[in-house]
Amino acid sequence: MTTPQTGALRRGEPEVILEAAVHIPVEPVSPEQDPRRPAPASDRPRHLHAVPARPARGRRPPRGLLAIAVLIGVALLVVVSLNVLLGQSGVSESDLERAIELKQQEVELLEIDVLRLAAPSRIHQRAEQLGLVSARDVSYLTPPTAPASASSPLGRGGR
Amino acid sequence: MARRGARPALRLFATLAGMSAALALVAAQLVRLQVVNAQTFENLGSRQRVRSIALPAERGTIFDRNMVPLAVSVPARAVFANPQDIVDPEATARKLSEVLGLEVALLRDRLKEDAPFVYLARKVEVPVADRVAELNLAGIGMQPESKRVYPQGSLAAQVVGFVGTDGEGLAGIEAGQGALLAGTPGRQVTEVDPAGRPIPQGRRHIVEPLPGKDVVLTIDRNIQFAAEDALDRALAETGAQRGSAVVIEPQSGEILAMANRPALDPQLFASASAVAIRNRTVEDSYEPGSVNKLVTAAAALEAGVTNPSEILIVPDTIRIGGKIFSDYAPHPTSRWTYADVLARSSNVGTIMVAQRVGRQRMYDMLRKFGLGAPTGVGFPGEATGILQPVERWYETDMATIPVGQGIAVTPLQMATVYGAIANDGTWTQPTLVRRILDRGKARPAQRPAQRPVIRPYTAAQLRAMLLGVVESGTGRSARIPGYLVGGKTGTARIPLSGGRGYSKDVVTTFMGMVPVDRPRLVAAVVMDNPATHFAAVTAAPAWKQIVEFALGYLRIPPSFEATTADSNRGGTP
Repeated sequence: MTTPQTGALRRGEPEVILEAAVHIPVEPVSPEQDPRRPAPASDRPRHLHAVPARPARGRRPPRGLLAIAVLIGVALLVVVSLNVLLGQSGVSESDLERAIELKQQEVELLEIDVLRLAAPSRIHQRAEQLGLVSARDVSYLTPPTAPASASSPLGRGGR
Repeated sequence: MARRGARPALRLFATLAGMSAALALVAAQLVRLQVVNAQTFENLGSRQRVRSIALPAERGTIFDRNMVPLAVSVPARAVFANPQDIVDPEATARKLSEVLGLEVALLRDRLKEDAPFVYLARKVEVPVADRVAELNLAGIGMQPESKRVYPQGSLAAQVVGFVGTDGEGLAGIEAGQGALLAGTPGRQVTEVDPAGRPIPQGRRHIVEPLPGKDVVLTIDRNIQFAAEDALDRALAETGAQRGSAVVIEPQSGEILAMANRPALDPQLFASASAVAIRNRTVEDSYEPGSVNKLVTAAAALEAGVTNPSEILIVPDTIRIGGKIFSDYAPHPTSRWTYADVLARSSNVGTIMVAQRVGRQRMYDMLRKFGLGAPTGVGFPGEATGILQPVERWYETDMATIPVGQGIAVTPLQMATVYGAIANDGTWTQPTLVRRILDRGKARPAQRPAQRPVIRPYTAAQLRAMLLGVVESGTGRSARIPGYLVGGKTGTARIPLSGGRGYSKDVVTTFMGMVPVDRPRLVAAVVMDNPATHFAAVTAAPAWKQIVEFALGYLRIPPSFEATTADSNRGGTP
């Protein structure tokens, strides 16, 4: 919004605030009655002229505030980046967990395979394929230090 | 000038009014979405984004007594489809068929079903399921589940049992201990993206499933294999249709082996015959025949009506209740001791002694040995056997029951009878479960019930008589060099189904214990309908093979040093 520019007024003429879009008529106010305006000097030319704009020193944001804003911006950027990184790590973690689970399942299946191969029926079958034969007549030897004697069939129940 | 000046105000008012109306509409919609229908839309959103998966509890493992797994669960996947989301059933079916190995037509029909959810394949191995996932087919999904695996194949299959598609125990220990093995399922709630991947930092809630307890059986894998191998050989050599074997430790009642033939593949139980599925040592009863003569002998010795050395005059026939009963083979009237009567398995001699015992004492002894009642082994579907109340006995029953006809027992019941005699007259309840493991903590199984049945002295007398059967009687083919073996043969005709009388088919049995002086093992072998009717050449050799292996495997020392003569005498009926 532009600042309204005012020029010197002719006596008796209504004051008009110059603005780009809005023209609002106001009641004529004499310079004596208008406290905002100083009384016109007698030697001042009575026509409109451009007033050079003064530099608006007070409106420039202070440097500290600017620095804070930049810092906040950077911090926000960092937070967002970290969040993205965290998300990516989460995905990686999920993938790794899945890979671990698959490997564990693979191990379990391999263990089952080992059990299958170690089953007596499997070993028996394989032994026969290799030409081994089952022992038919097994003989037991009694060591001489432990003389064997046929115990009574009455065993513990003997009266 | 005044009218022209009012227009902007009007326009401004109209604009403001329009904006307010629009804002009101937005606010109203906001209220509708966020307040009135908030729950509905939240639910809709959750349904799209939040996935709740039932986490199946890992079913407990069944071990043998040496902690060798007999039944274990491995992870698997169920492949399912939401047919409403399938765009091209034909193409989808073709792609799935290549991976799952199922027929395209079958898959296509399922994909075209008018249902929101259909299973395409169950118990799919994880690598295969992963290949299905890689196809990234719309409307196809996977559910985690577990698959029961029996690493020992058909070993002890009728004992271990099997599970159904949903993992529920259907037979054997899988059913009997199902409540312990099953565990409690958990649940996982996860927020997922449209591709079904979990959203990192999204909502995630897991209720961990409680795994089932492990069951450790009393079965020994190696003795079990020896028993099954012996039955296989016996079936091949004798032409018998079916066979069963039990090996127990008489003192503890623990069952070391429980074998049944024909064999059963637990993974293919659906296509197995009804006979192959049954654990016939527990579930089926049969007329035991002459092995029941030991109960008659126990009753007679306990009643004091005879002793093993009493000489009896034994003809080859006897008339009871107007019917004539005879020995298996004709013989002249002989002077035999009661021990000889048992060794020769004389029906007439046994009936003579049973007449002295009387029906009430005979019945009481049968009951004391646990016949006519389940053993309480804890196996589902255990048969009680058949033992009529004594009031309903006919006169002829006092001729048939003492020789093992007109009474039905399970092989396990009869094995426990011999176990009681081996255990100094104390009957011990047989057990199949040794202990329960609850996440590594062992809980011993319930102590088996025990009760005295006969005096230790009577038991010792009976063991001596059983030794005589193997040394000089019908059980000579069960001799094992170096060991004192006691046992009894039995042959019984099979009753006709649905009618009175007996068929020509027989069941042969051998029951025995070893070493008879200090019994460590009791075993029973039953062969159904072998080509020959002699237990000595059908059941006894199989019994010998099983027990001979078990003796060596368990390092049970021999009773005496075997000589060449001892070695040679075995195997001749």
